[in-house]
Amino acid sequence: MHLKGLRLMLSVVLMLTLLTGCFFGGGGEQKVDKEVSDSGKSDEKVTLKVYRPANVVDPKTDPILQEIGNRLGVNVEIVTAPWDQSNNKVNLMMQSQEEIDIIQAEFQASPWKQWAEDGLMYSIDELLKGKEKDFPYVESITKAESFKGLQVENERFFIPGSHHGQDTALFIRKDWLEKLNLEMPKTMDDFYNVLKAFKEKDPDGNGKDDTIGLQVTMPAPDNFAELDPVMHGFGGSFGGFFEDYVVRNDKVVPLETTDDTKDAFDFMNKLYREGLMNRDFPNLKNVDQGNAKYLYANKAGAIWTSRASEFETNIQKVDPNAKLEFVPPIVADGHEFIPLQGSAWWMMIGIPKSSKHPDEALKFIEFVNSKEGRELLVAGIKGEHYSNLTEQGIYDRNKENWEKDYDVKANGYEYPLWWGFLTTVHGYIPVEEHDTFEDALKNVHMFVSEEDSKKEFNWKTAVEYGSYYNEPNPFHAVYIDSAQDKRNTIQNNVKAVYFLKMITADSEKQVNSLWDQYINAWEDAGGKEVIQAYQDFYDENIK
Amino acid sequence: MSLPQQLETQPEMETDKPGKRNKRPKRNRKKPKQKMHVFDYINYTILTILTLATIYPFWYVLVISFSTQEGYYQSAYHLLPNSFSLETYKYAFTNDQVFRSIGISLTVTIGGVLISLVLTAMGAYVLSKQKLKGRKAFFIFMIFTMFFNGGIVPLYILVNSLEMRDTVWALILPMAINTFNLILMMNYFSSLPESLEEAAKIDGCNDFQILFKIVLPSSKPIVMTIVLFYAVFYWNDWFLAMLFISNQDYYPLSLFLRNMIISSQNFMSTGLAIQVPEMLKSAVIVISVVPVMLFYPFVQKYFVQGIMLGSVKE
Repeated sequence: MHLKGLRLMLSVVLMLTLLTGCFFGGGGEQKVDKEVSDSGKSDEKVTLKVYRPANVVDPKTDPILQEIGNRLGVNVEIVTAPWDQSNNKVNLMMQSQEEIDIIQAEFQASPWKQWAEDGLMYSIDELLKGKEKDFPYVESITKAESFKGLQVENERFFIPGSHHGQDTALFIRKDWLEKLNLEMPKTMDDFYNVLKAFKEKDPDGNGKDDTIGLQVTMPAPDNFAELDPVMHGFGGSFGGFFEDYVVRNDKVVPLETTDDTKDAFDFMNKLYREGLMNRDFPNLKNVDQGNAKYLYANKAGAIWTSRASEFETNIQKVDPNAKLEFVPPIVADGHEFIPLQGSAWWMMIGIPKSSKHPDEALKFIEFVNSKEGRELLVAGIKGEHYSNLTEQGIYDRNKENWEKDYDVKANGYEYPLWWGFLTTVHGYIPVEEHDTFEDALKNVHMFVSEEDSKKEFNWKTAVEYGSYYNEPNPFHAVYIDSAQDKRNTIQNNVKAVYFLKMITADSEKQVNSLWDQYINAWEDAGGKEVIQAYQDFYDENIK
Repeated sequence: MSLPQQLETQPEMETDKPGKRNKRPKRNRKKPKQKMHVFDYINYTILTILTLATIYPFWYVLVISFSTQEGYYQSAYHLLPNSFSLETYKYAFTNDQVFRSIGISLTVTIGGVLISLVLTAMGAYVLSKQKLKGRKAFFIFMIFTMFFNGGIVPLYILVNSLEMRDTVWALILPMAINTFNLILMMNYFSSLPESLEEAAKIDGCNDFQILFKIVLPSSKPIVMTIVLFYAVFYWNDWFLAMLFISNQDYYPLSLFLRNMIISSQNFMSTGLAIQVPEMLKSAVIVISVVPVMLFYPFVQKYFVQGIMLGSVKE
């Protein structure tokens, strides 16, 4: 019995040792480490610890990260966490003062201002002192008018993680339009008639009444973004963190309370009541769920997306003749189209005081945003992943090498870190060729593979289409502490409740009654005080 | 009926052996047929609905995991399979990351259960001894951690300071002893007769020998229950990996699966075209559930026994 137990225990220990050896730290990685160590260079290089949510590449073996490391003379280590836990992880790192060289945190969800005020962050002003010319990107973006709101007591602590601009637009089933002899809609009445025909005239030809006009999903209780083309076609807005307010005659106007917005709700309610949009949208929590039920099942005629190419390919698996087409902004009669008040950024990037290499960290941030860095992160290593990148931003992708180095089945022929790694631009922002960051952003230089450039939907056209629907908001980087609680209350307790009720109301009369209740609730929650706070900010800083 | 009473009645029961003719009338041996009342019908109906509601998600995931992409797109919600393909499983089992994650989960589960069991048993055994000096204080000290803990920041600092990040130890050691499990085990050990240990001592056993050769082998129900608790915890846990594992290659299956399921929602907000097919998500869910389903029947028979015996004092 004793011997049996001993044998069992030894077997388990042996198995554990084997498993640990197999799955934690393979032999290959040790070899790489050893090679670096043998060359004697590893000791000379500093190791930069960069935080990047949802990282999927291994810095020890990833050729592009190693190339960046070689060019900058550093070793790159990536600290990561899943997307939805990213803020928790960054908070933990900051609270525990863990040694980390670069962090990126969400603007809305992290106490970035507090970190700066508590002295936990390096001042960008101090790090850049006398070296501004060596850091054109960092200097340009942190000094941009549109990002003035991110400064803490007139000092720069964070660099916005730039975005190539909104790339979401409305797309429609062109083959259905042709089949039903319909024109591309230009007015909201046209749009209504097209959606009605999509629902009633059996565009999929299966003899059943099973199609809808517009596919909508609702990722969060206050997220109605997929109805934006309708809302903005009336000149209204759902209001969101980046698109709340506009300025008219030097007055801050909350679009979410205007008559235009009310008219848009009447129209959306009509679409809902008549089943021209899917009535189950509040239960569909993400676009993939909606696609599986409608778009990819050949049952939806229009959708708001940034993934037109992928969507079209998937619909074609069921209907090979399916074709999506971009729809230019649709305007309602008697209204003016208002572009989405979008933003060109989404992350706060900073160098914590726990960093032992702040200068190298700043160089790293500059590099990954530079033309050279972007070429590497988007097109790959010249001679390996591509051989030529034209002035127009077209590169010839070497698929064989790409497949050798990356899991193309999971990520396609895109480098997993091209986005969200301190920037999200599928190309670069030419700051050195323009006087202001805003001008540079308008002329963002996109990179597209030769293969994709021949397709109708690619990175260039996505940004082009998106630009019809979006423009930066003057307040997109403004964070007013005193107004924040009230804004959150309005967003979570007022808009999330009344907007859904208005869209799904049983009658127009009910929409009218709900609208009055909504305006009262908005005022009770402090809407006017919030607008006043933004008006004061505008008068003092922007006017 | 108390245990002594049961023991007293046992000899009588033994006389009623199979093969022996029973003198009682035949009809008395038949189990009386219970009449079904309206309440029973309602009860069964509700229970059937609840059972179906519980089984349906598993069934749905199973059906989707065997669907072809076209079959799934044609009808995302269907009860009966409209297509059949093993492609997704083929991909999952040939995908390095899935394979590696399963391996890491196995490592953590086997290693974690072993370490936790040994530590919990040793703690529980000591605390089950009434004569232990300061037992109450130790016990309060243990209980205290059930209601108040140091918080996540100290844990994070501690694990990082011990340089356990990106190692298997970060996934095992922080939660190696669960106080609830320790109390369960302690109660069970307390219910064992003192005479067992006294006999072992007379035979020359020391405390370790008593624990590992006498007490643990006599406590199969509680050991199996605790093994089940720990195994399920280690197999399902993703939080520690989220905190301490930076290299995705080292993610256990639970975190890998979780990322896969939520990824399309998160990526959508950034306008990115990375999409994990539903069939693959479903296949990985099935793969992750199967080991627990295979393991559970073997310990189920001990499960209720282990919980109940430890909780009843005579």
